Amino acid sequence: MLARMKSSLLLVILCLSLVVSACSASPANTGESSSKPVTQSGTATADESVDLVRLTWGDSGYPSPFAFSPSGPGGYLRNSFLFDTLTWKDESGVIPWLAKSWEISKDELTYTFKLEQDVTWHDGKPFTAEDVVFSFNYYKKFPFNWTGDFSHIESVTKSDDYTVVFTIKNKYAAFLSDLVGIVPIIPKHVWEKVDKPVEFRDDAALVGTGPYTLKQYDEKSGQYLYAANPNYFKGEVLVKEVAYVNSSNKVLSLQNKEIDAGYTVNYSEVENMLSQGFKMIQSDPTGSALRITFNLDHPQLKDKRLRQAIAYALDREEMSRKITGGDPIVGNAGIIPPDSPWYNNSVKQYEYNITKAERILDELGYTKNANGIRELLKLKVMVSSTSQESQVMQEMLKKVGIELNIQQVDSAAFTAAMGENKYDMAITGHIGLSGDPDYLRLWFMGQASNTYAARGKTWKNEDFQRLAIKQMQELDFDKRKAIIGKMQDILAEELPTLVLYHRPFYFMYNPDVYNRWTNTYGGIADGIPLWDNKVFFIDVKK
Amino acid sequence: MVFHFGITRCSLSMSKSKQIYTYVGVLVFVLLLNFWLPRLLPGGPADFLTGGTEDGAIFVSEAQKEAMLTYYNLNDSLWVQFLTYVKGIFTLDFGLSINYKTPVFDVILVRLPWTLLIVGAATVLSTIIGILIGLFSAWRYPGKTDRSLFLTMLGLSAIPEFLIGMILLILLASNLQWFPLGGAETAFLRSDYWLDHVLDVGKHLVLPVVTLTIGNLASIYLLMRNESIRVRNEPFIEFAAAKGIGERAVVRGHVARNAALPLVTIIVIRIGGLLAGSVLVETVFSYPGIGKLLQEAILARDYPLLHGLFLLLTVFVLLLNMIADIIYPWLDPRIRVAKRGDGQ
Repeated sequence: MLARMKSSLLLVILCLSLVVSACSASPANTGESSSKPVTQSGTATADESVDLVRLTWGDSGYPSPFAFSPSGPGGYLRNSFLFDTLTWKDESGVIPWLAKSWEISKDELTYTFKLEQDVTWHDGKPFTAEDVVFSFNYYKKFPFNWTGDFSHIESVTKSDDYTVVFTIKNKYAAFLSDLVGIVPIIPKHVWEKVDKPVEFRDDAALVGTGPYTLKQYDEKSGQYLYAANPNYFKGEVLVKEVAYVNSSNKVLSLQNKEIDAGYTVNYSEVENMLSQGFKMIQSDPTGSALRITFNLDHPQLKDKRLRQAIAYALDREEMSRKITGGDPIVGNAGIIPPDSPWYNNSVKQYEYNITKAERILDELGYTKNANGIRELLKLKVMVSSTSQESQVMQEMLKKVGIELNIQQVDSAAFTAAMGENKYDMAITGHIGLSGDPDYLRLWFMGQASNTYAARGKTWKNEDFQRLAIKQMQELDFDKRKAIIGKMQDILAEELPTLVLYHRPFYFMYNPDVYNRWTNTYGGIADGIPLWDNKVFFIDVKK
Repeated sequence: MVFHFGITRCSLSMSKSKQIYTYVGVLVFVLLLNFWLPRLLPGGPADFLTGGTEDGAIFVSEAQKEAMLTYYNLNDSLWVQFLTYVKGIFTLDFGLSINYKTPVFDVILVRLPWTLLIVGAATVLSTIIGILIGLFSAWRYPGKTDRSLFLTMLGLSAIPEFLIGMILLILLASNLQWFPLGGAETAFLRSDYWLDHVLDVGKHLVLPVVTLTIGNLASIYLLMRNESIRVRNEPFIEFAAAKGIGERAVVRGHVARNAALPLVTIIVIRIGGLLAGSVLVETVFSYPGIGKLLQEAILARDYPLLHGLFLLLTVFVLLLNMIADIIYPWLDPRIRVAKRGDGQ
């Protein structure tokens, strides 16, 4: 009896160990193998080419144009390594890419693009105007996963194999950067047979014209290994392999040489890294902002004087200094970052002024009781992650007698509450302020359904709406800048949202591995203030 | 522990059909809960996807959002969605994960082996170590060694797993850098030798497994110790000792074997607990198993993926319980005989 029991116990243990050993054997399928361990990163050679650069980002999904994760810019950037667009951006702004040149008609409604002629898809087939026409028609049926407002397009036709003509419904200033500069061109010979693009997982789903092919995708951890395309039309790809790995702590991983570059928003981390021989680039323009969105339907907050009082009551310079540790960039009341070419430097600003704040609050009838608390004014601020800003804000508003409650919810609940208008104020930190200023229109005219705008709603301000449409149709920089300036004036006066501070991203890198990093003018694509722009990995033929 | 033991005995005395009814009942209940519970959370999958992250704003247009909702049938009425779900259970097809845009089955399959690996290793380790320390403790009972072991184990069982994980992470991975900070293997490790890969996986395995083992150790230790002390007082042990068998042989041959019997049940049932514990541990060590996947799926309100994961976990736990029910009489002839007697 006892022997039987012992053997069965052994059996259980044996089974488990079998499972264990089977598992440890199977997942180690590390694709192709070469002799060098990955910890040995490439070093720059005489011709500036580099074997491997390792960057860090989380899982961004399968990088086909229909399956990458739209949550954050990672998915779009992973996709942009494989696929190309008609135009692209480098440190100087919009540059020719798949289109080598273009002409704009007098009425500014027709764009004629001349395409590059020696481009081949990763599978060897030639790229032609047919693919461009097909792509834009296909996206009409199956929406692209990222931005790009297709509703402006009237028609896309080809006039010969290497010429494409776009006709648009209205003048659109951001057409070159925010539409044809974002939407990837896909091969007709692959996708014309696909009617469920989201689920399409064939190797062909990743066939683009881009500088890289995906050598390996570690699905369980969301890690990517890209290999250079040896026949790239735009020039030699200098970084032969790019790896995106998951790292739970960028600074630690950088120090341990597990990655070669990474960014932070915390300046004290930067100082520490600089002292260890790493180099740093600050995003310019800052592009990222922390801001309060006010619920304009709230019975108290719908009065702009209360919103202005809150702006006066917040020492935003102090807040920014405390939280980022760097030189503070106080939020422009007109939203556009002060280092942007679109910034209006005469816009009304709200300096830190408790007396003014108290006076407005008194005038509004929110009188203080014996304990210095304005009993009639109890507000809530909603945050989707631990937000130091909300805590600092709570302290600062206490000084003027406003009681602020912090509601912390998860991301989905946050977005849902914004959509249903079940909030007083909400704090968000996000990018998207360095690109084409058309985002001001998208945010406040119900075009963008994300949390960062007045979601699903239009901000009912007729002057603003009129100007927003006008700037969209103005292609002359100076004239457009004047209109954008007026829009900033309205925003600053009305304060539908208050930018607390503009937050630079600091990109830290190991210069011994790769040092051709630069800021992209206006941010990659629609204004992504990051540095893994494919153009900086290529020796572009001028 | 005794309580558990009682339950098992109880269910054993039930007739077979009754037992099956119970399992089916629990399964149906969980399947219903599985559909409705995630939908009670505020916000839906579209909210998560359009919410963006700290790193990025996205301007998903209303048209794109609409297309997304239609694509995943989230525009259908709840009842239609429920019918689709029920159909999915029978065909084992839960559809596409909303977050990963890949069939739920595939998403889980890629990550499942990693969870089985750490849960399996932790089960084996905690069982062996728990039994050995438990026996040793009982052997020294009553005495200082037993007392201090007993208190240490009680203390350990009171610390939540994620806290143990955090402490290990900060000490051994962050400060001393003996182990990697997270993940299951070095990204894109290049080596022709399979041994390098095994060692690499092993290195990443240590901290999660140690955390789970510590979390699971106490219950096994406590049961083994108490059972051993009970068995030690039985007359047949006294008889064996009186026969002149050495103390070690008595412990090994008589005490251990008899005390281990109820352990089999508890070990099998504890595997379910380990699976649950893996959610926390995998999150702490960013280990790419189904525990971390579950946490992400909840945050993303990825309904299809949640359905798949909950079903998997439910079936797993129910199966483990069934195994415990079946294995016990097979191991203990006394019960087997009693059962046969019942039937006649």
